[in-house]
Amino acid sequence: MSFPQDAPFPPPVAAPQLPELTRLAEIPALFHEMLESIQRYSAQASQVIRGELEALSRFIAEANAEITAVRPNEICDLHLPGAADELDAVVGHTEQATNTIFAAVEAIEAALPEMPPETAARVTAAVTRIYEACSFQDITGQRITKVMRALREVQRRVGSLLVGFGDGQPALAAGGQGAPAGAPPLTSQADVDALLVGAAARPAGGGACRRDGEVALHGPQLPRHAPGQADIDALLGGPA
Amino acid sequence: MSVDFKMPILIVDDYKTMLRIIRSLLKQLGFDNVDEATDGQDALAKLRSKKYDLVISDWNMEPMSGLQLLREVRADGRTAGVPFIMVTAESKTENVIAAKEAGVSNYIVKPFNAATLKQKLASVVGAF
Repeated sequence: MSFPQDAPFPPPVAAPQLPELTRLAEIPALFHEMLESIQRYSAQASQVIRGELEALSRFIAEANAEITAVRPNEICDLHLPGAADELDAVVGHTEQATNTIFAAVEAIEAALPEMPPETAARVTAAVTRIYEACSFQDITGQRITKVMRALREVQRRVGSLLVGFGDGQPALAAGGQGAPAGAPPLTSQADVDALLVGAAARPAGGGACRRDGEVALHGPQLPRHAPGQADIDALLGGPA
Repeated sequence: MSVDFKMPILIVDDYKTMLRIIRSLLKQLGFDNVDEATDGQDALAKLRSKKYDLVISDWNMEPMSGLQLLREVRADGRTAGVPFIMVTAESKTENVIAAKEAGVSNYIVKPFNAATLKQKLASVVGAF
């Protein structure tokens, strides 16, 4: 498109055609209509928000009821300490059994000089296998310690849940002592630790994975994951 | 050079059953000059009061672990050269590497058998 040389620049633009207001009295009506429209919108938005809040409130109430039905206090007061007692008994009994086996084996070893050499060699080999097998008690003790740590973590988290829903004691969530008045005695963290550090139990550290300085300690691995002695030897630089 | 079966050996474990097992297996192999310690601190005190030709130690002990004991042993001029075998359930790569970097002579993972103990022993004290 080209413009004549003497035409003004920029070219004039036609003014927009506005609707004609015949009476000023129409303005309040228009304003009122606009206001009603805004109020209708706000009411709808409020209704939506109110509905969402009511649904959220129902959800929280239902969750609270479900958690209460789980009876988390019983978990902390009864089941977990009971489990700790049972595990402690396992460690104690296996240690007693191991000591009994050792006493018997030592009696057999004492009789070795009285046996013919060939018999003594076979008995010695059998006794060696018994000693090797008895190391199970060390491993089971360590595995039980790992289970105890997991139980302690469960207890701590259940305690946190109770505190979160206003039904627990902060000390319990932190793994400490605490019991509502009149409630059955609560096994405290100190009690659980005492069970662990008892004569039959191996000492337990805190947390799911203990640390020795900068090195993480994992305890015995499950057989399907555990590296063998050959793998260890390879890390050290070949069989030796 | 023949192995001295009378060499003083220090075994370290906080678990009495394991001490009993290792002592019995060592006795079967011919080594019966064996002392015991129940944790790293106890072991360190014994190492500073008597000369040992071999240390066999667990790792997971308190208040002083086997790794801490190993580092102390290697840091002390009097004990730096003592052969040190770690016997432990810790079998992750990072654990073995940490022990290797601390100067462990050999590393036995629990549970172990008598043949492995003999093999690892022979690797540090000589074949027998």
